[in-house]
Amino acid sequence: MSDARLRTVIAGLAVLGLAIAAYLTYVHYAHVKVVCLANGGCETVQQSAYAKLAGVPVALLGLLAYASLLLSLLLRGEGGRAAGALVALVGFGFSAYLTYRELFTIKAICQWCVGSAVVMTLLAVATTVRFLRAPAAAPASGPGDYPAARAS
Amino acid sequence: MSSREQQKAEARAAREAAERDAATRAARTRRMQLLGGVLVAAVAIVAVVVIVSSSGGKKKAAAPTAGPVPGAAAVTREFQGIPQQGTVLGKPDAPVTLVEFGDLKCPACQQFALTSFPAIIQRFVRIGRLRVEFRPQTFIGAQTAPGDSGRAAAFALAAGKQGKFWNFAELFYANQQDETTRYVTDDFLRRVGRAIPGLDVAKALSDRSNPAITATLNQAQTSFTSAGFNSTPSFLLGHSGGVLKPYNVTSLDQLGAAIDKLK
Repeated sequence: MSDARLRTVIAGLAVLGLAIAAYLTYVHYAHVKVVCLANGGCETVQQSAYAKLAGVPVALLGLLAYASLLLSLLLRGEGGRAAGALVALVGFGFSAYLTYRELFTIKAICQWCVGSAVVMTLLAVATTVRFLRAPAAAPASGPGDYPAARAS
Repeated sequence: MSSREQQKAEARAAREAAERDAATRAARTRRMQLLGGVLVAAVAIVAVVVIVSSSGGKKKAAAPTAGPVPGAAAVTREFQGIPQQGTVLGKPDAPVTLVEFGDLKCPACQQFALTSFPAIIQRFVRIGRLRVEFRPQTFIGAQTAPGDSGRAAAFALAAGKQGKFWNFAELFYANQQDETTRYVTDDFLRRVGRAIPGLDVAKALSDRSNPAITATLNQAQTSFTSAGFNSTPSFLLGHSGGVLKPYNVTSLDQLGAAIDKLK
């Protein structure tokens, strides 16, 4: 898969994750009932002590993570790829921890959270692959993403 | 091309190929090292996050059960001289009715109660232009602190039987705590209730089990759902005794204009 296609995949996944996180952030601050397919699992998770990290809603942290991933796509070169991979790997690790808490501590499943965890897992894979398969840096073509304009 | 030149060209090509291989290997090594660094950083960040989250998860509600109740004097002044009947605040013949669907554990309701409601009382209720009816909801914290919201609502309704519903609701909001924690114990209710002059706390605690209170709670929730609401606070506004319609309280001036229009 080419770098351009990986960027498209990452952007699509990040937008999907951003939408999920934005909805959960809205639910948190607007104090509305979360739309949930299961028997109140989403509300249980949303109102659990694990829905906040140091007082900050986890949904808001997710929103920031997905936005950061989109921003990392705008950064050229290895730095942008490394930043994207770092954010996605941290997001993956935290999502895995929260899923563990859902299953074994809260004993309720929130489909929105599971959806976000799946998206973050795919993003961790895609950003890591993009980082490892990045085109080699060449002096004539800049940091790597775009071929430099050829001098005539 | 002479044999010597051919040998030179082959040697150059071999050297360049070797240099390319070496550069590729070096780039791959560098990238793997960088990935290792990224992984180590990610694991460290996640570890810190997990520690912070886990310590937060063990946090217990620490509701103060003794000492003065903040806001008690202000709440007493706020409702002084205003008629109360059950969950209705204001003169019975006020031409316009505002219905509030609220949850005593809801932070947004608290914000409305403490920032907007005192001005609504002063400007519209106290002078008899508006009566306000509260229909308590009990869904905030229903999973993490089951029963908490219901206990608060039931006690408020029981206080309403003594004409003190609004005093209790407003003082509860002034002392509201984290919505995800369980803090509405009988001790908490006693402490808040005792700060309300004229409220017989023991009677209110006893009256909570009155079937009429359960029925009122059920009716409040049914009307909330049938009005199409899913969040608190939500409001209905209309001519007293007439049809009430969903209304979004955005400003005092807008509410004043709506009341004038309905009179």
